[in-house]
Amino acid sequence: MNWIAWAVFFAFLIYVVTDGVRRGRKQQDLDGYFAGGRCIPWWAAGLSVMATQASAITVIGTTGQGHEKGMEFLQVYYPLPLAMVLLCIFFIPLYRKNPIITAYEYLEGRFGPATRSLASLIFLVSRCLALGVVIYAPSVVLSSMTGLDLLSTVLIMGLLTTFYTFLGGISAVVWTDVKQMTVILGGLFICLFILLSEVLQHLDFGEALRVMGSASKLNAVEVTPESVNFVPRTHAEIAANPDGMPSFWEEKYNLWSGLFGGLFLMLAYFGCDQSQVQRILTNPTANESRKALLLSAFAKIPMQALVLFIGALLYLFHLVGDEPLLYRPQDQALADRPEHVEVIDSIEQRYAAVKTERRQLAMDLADSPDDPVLQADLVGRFQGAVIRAAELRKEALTELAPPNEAGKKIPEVDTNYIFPHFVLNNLNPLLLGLIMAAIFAAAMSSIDSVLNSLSAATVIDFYKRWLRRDASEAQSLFAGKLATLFWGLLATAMAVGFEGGGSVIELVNRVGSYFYGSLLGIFTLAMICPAAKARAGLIGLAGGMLTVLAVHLSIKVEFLWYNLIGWLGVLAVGFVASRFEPR
Amino acid sequence: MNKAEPPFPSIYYVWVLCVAVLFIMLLYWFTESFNVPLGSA
Repeated sequence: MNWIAWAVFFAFLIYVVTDGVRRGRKQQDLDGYFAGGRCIPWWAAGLSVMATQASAITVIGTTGQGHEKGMEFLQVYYPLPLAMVLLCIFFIPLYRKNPIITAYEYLEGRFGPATRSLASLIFLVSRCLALGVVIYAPSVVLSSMTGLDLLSTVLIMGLLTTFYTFLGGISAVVWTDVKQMTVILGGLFICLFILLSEVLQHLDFGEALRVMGSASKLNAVEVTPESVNFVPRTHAEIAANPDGMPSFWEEKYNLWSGLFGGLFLMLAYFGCDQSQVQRILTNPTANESRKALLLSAFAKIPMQALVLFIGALLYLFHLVGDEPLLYRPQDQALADRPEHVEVIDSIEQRYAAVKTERRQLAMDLADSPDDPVLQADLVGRFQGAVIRAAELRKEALTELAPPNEAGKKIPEVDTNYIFPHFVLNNLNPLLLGLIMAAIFAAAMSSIDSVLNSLSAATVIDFYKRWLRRDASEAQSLFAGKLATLFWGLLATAMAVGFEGGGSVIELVNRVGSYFYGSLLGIFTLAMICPAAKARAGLIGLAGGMLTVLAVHLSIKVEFLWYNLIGWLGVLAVGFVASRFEPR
Repeated sequence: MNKAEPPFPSIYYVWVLCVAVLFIMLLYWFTESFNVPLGSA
């Protein structure tokens, strides 16, 4: 990165921080700090909802996913509009009936303080752990792009965001999110334009779609699952027969896991996660809150389709141009070491031959007449080259991976580095600075929302509920700011501590999906089961989480289904427990 | 919540869901027209 790119990047950072600080001058009380004085317009809250969900990993990881696996991930988002409509109808009246600040306050009215505190605690623990990853994961990629060391990247991202969120509260969060979302969208459209203009020098648009489709990158709706075996496999069965046929429940993304698992994930995330609920509590009226959610309902699927399509286009860009064998700078350095250089050279030679063959077949496919027999033959050979190229990349990554305790080498995927590699090597300094700013913006817009919501849950659900019920507004506001600082520093410290802890990060990433279904379940139980009181609520919530744990320990199920399982677990246990409530 | 707030027009929900369904159908057509699952050719 040269000085122009750095100048653009730092200009953006300074603008965001000063704007955030400026917004904070008006904060006088808790309602202002955590709910923006209930005067944020719906469109700003709606953009903040979208910006909060779009983390840096969404930008760099999802484009990488589009490059490697095509558009299949989009299917998780299909139920989002329905989820938003359901939230508008059933959840917003609950949240806007009284001037609450956290979603969990509602639970106390129905199930008492224990369930409220447990739900809030689940949120605090899972979100804080996840926040460490939200800071750490893009920092690793950005440090390798910029040449800054990892510690500096983590500190810039974590501390700057903590600083303006600490001073400005939710108003700073929402209004900086609006600017960050604008930069993210601008950056994405610039990349789309550049990629299209490059690709269209070799192929026309129809031919480009045909080639991308033949490489199976346009798989936006996969109706037929890979497996129709609906009997889930136990872990013991998988250990006994690792090459056995996976069950329907083990396929990560298809239309059905997206529609059913995704629906409950979206309902839980937007309806019960304080980092999202807080946005819809900042509007003046319930109808404004509804409009904020409906903005996301309209815009999210097209936005996600755009991100994944950029990834698929990036694949085509590499296909007609030149695709590197290794994207991660550390891998490129490792490949030059004497112990790897011979093997990697051999793979490079085979890779070059496959790439030439793949490119030629793609061009033949683009030029081929509409003869189905000829096309089928070409597509078959083209797909063979596509698969071989992917296998060679995997072979190279396996060669470079350190052996584990059993002496086996497990390749570490480099999906998150594909988009940054393109940005770094193909954009002029001005655009490079802007895209870097967009990636940072995506990270900061997620971090700030979570920080403010963690602080809100700490102060409202614990400090004011258990420690100082008579705290004045000034004392509570001070506690809120202190809590923001605490969570910001803790998450940044955790991100520093994650260095080298790949398995820890994977575990943390999954923590949220273990709890989300149960959180949604307890809110649903509150709405549909009037007989359920304090005891049934608490037992139901614990029952839902234990159900997920039991399923996790016994059978193999992809994480999206955990949301549905947790939700069903709470409802089943809660209903049964409500029969034994004291009358 | 503002007590005098008028009810939210249900037509907005209908619009959102119709647009979403149409968009997903468009993506389905797009997939069927261009995509070839790996190994199926």
